[in-house]
Amino acid sequence: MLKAFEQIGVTILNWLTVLGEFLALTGQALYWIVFGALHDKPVKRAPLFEQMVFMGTKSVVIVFFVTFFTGIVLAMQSAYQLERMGGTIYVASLVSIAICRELGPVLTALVLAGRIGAAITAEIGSMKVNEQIEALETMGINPVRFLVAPKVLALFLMLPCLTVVGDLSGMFGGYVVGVFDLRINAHLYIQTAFKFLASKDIYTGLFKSLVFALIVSLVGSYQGLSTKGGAVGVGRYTTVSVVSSFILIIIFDCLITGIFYYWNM
Amino acid sequence: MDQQPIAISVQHLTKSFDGRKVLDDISLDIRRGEIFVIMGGSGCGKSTLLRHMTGAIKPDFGTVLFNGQDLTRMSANELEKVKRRFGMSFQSAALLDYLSVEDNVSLPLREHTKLNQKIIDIIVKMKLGLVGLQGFEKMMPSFLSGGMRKRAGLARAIAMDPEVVFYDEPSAGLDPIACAVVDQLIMDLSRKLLLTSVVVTHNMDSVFRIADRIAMLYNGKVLQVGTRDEIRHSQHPVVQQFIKGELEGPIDIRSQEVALQ
Repeated sequence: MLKAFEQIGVTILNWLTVLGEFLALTGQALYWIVFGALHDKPVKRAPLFEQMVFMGTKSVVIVFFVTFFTGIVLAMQSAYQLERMGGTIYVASLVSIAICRELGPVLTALVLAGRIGAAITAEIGSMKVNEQIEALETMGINPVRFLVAPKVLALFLMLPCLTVVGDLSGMFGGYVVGVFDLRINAHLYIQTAFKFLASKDIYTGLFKSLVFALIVSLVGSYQGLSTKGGAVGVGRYTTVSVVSSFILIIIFDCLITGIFYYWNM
Repeated sequence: MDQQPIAISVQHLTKSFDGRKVLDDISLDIRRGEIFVIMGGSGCGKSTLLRHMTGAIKPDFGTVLFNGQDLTRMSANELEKVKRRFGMSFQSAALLDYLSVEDNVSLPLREHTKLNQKIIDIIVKMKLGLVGLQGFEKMMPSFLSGGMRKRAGLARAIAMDPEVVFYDEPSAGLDPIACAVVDQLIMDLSRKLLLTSVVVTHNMDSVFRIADRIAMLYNGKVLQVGTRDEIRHSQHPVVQQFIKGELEGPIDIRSQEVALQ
């Protein structure tokens, strides 16, 4: 019995240590992004743009496909219900609100967690096991400032942009079903889609995407910097990074939605 | 060499990992300008000792003094400044693999100085010349051989004109000729640039080729410190067995391996 309590205690302590380290990394990364210039070491433009292209531009196609087909599915599934009540026209607003408030930000973030979170962990992790992180530290170069800060800032800037792409392509998926399958007049569809869509629906979605960007980039970097155990370790920590990003995205989505719901936004 | 002031002084250094004492009350003095070799079997704590000297690890007890300043009690900021006066050559060279040779060598200059690009280019050319890698500026590290990577790493280590260069297993994974080249380079750099060199290795050929003084580490303790001749003619059975690489003697690796299982 005592053994079991000990085990629980050890597990909780381990979790608290991980949480503490993660928050310390978060603090450091944000500090360097915001106050780096004060130390004459702002985030450099070249690596930032490079990361923005890698994370943003090169994710557009996959984000488009995922949200476009989700939009189609959403439209077909809701049409199936709404048809019985003779309200197929409301497919338009249902799709646009569901995509902008919820599915656009979440699906885009999940796609990026798989694509970018894994890449960040694998890259930093293999640098860790090949002594490259230690080499940076020995040269007096802070790896958080040098490696983590540009990645966090790049994703913070690009994920909202990708979310807008996701929102639009999801709505376009709904439009395709509405106009070509349900035979709703194209003009009417667009009008209905935007009629019930308030600006707060869009910016709450974008706010979520900012939080998700921090989750994906910081979890990825944290797991990368914690990597040990050679090539096997890189694989294992990359998996942990993607899985924990997924879970955290869903949890924070729920929390933020809850907050907006009770604040009546 | 004896009259040179002390560059690095290690005093009563003790460090445990997971309850196992890796360093046990180690005291050493390294003089300015000498090539000081730390040798010992695998897992005897020599790399850990090196990482205490570079400030990468904090000890449980004891101090590491660099020119009289205590590295173990410095703030992160002060330590970062002191580290700019160190260079380190890693076992795996540890070049950043997404940067070319040139960018790797210029990295510390770009990060720590405000020199303009033209001057940085000249310094990089000069440093690559010193290690015999002129003409390889644009190559990516993955296209270089192991020996060339080591030399590029060395060029990066001396980019900021450090006072001390640490070498972690400089000859590991190199063929005998590449190994001799790296050894020659360590000696040349130390003489030409008046560097203090701290070398961790268990390659006996290089130890007796390059060392001014040698420290033998065994089970986390310093067994003996001496010149090449003192070590070669040491009366200590462990030192004798180690430098001759004999199977029989006080160091019994086979029984250690059995014990580990």
